[in-house]
Amino acid sequence: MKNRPAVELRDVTYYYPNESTPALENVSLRVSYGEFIVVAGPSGGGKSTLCKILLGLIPHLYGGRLTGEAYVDGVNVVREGVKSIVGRVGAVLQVPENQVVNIIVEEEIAFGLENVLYEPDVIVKRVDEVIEGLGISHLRNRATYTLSGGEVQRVALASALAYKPRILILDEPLAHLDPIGVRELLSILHRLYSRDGVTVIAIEHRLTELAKYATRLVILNKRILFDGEPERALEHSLTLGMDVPPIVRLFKNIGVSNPPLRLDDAIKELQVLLKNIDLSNFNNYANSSRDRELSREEVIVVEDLWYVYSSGREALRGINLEVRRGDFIAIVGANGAGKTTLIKHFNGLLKPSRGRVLVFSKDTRRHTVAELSRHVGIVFQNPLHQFFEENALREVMFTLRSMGFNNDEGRAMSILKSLNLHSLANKSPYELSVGEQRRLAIASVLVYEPEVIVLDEPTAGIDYSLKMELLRILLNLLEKGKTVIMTTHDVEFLAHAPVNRVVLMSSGEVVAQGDPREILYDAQLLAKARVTLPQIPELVSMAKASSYMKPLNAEELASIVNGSRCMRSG
Amino acid sequence: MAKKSIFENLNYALTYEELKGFYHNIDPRVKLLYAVATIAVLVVNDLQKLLVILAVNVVLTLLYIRILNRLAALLKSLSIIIALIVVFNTVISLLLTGWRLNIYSLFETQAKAILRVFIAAIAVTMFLATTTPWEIVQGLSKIGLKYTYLYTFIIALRFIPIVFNEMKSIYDAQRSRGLELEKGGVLSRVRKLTPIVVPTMVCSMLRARDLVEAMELKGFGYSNRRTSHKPLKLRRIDAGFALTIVIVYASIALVPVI
Repeated sequence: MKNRPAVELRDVTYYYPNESTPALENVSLRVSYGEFIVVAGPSGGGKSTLCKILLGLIPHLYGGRLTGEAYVDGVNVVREGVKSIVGRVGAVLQVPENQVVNIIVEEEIAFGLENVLYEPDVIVKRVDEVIEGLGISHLRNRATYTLSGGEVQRVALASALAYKPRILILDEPLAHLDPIGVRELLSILHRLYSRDGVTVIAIEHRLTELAKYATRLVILNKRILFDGEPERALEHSLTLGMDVPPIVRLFKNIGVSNPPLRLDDAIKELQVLLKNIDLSNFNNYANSSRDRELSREEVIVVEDLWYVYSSGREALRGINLEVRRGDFIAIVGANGAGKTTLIKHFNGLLKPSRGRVLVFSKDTRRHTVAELSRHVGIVFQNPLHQFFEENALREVMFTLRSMGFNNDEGRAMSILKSLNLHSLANKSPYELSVGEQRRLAIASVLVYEPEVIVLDEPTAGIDYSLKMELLRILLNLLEKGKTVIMTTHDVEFLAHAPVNRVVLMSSGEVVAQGDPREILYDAQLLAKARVTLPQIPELVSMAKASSYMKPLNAEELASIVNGSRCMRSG
Repeated sequence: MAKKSIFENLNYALTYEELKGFYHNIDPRVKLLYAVATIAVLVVNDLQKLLVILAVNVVLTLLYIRILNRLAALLKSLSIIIALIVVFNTVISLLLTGWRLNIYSLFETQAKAILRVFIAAIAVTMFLATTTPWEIVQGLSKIGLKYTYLYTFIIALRFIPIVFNEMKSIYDAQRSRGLELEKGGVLSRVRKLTPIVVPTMVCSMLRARDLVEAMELKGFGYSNRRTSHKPLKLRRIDAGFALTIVIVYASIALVPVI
């Protein structure tokens, strides 16, 4: 009994009902008590499936065919099902909002304990403890539907921890958090692991912040491709096109073996490297602005825009903004900063409470959404909010028709082709993968060729390789002379995207706008907007090198270092 | 400020308020009794008695004065219905009496109808705004109803605003693709709802799946009974409140009209 593992999978293969290819294939995994293990892998690689097997939900609720054995905390979960792990294992699944059953936070935390018949005084004590432990006493009597995304997740975590589980399983816990929220959650998880000895199993592909906390990393793509120390795994995952901390990518590009995972170690390494470099003599990124030659034509003008919701909340407070033809603009800010409210004014979905918005010199208050959408196409965050047709082609044709174009199938097919979706034209939108759905949503806006394309949090919920694919699509649009605006709190994506202007928002106001090299290096400014520095700017700032260079991503910094090395040797 | 829609007013009026007040501490069973008794006593068909009942309820709101905001919101959202009732009643009475109606009795009927709506609104708002659904479930399960059924009610309350918001986002997404609901005849408008109804249903089903998983993981249905972190106890103040209500209402109903 003593050496019983926390989790043991033996040769697990699983097919969803009516599927001929397995979602998982011969997966064997052994996790000891007291580990902090991260299971990473590409979208569609079976991470969530693995999580649901561990929790006894698959095949218990889903059906399908499973071979092999799975034990969690000594229980055969495949045979016994989800009921057998209630109270033993804490679980926080994706989309915490959907897991909260009750209306009051305190009741939600007590809910699980009441179901399994804990005594009232024990429940009260446990509730007090977790509320204290997670620092959420201010939320105790709040209604759950008034909480922010990060707060709801904290409540979901609290109700899982109320069981005092020895094992905690989280499925994509970082997916919808803004950068500060990510750091807060990770420090809680780290404390649970190090202080309370909880075994943490996190299913997550965003490794930039997470990798340094893990004692072990498993890379899963239907099979287990790697299982071992994070340091070694990351080298491996570079070749898989996965999200890897930028500092790892940096040192790999420079040619350092065993790249450091922690920022502190990276700073020392970088300082050593920089000592050997003649600083006055390289193609630096100090102040080279990304501002391309732009036309002066203003496509969207926002003048002293205020928007007040019917609840009386001021969502936008005096926004001024000019968008010129050919701009690539990122609207950056934490959840709730007002980013989505702002872009909904660009095609008239919302009308200003005060001030005005001009789209191609048309005042949005005097034009319909249909008219304005001709010029400004908005791609919203959740592709599932727009699919309703039988197949992908019809989905694209719908937009074309409602925008007043004829049933031009050739045009629809050519846009599908340009986004590499033409082979899926007859498939139902719901059968597509996450990345394909996202591309289809973009296709169904691009098809009528609006001059301005606006994307709301386009990187939410997609993995690194899909982000890079998205970036190529955006660059292609810019080359065609389109104007692109995106909202985001994904600072690492931002560091890769060649935006010419960053608009930083906080509490409904624009706190700064300008060149990304200025803004993404201004820690104080970003903190005000609850956004963190991207990792490379943070590294360069902490190595005190930001006065003579301002690279934004690993590739830029690597080329500075490599370039100047070449110069020395040549 | 954008105008609140009927739904927003209704939602605001009837959802639990996070604050604490006199009624928050009253046993949910007693509050339920108050609401039911108030509606029951409205069968009295006398203007003066109804006015007294209104007065009693107004006095009761003094114990939790903040309720007035909500009451105002509720009445605002009900104003159209109230107006319809008045018009309908008048037309019906005129038709039935063959246009020979005395003005006073017409006025009296309308006044009684409006009073009933007002009084019921006070009691229902008070109950729903100060009682969490969880407490309602506790109260009802004491009466013997099974908690697994009662929870359907909590879940509906919790997810209605979420689904409603999601529908708004879906509408926005489809409008951005050129959907115009305002145009066309009735039939084509109904057909145009498909792009909104289908995604709403799909997203709701995904939510339902997530919720089922979460509830399984939290041991819902583990046993036929549940324990409670705040067991209900009838205190003296609860009994006193209940008794007062019953005595006052009974005497209003039973005392003969002078």
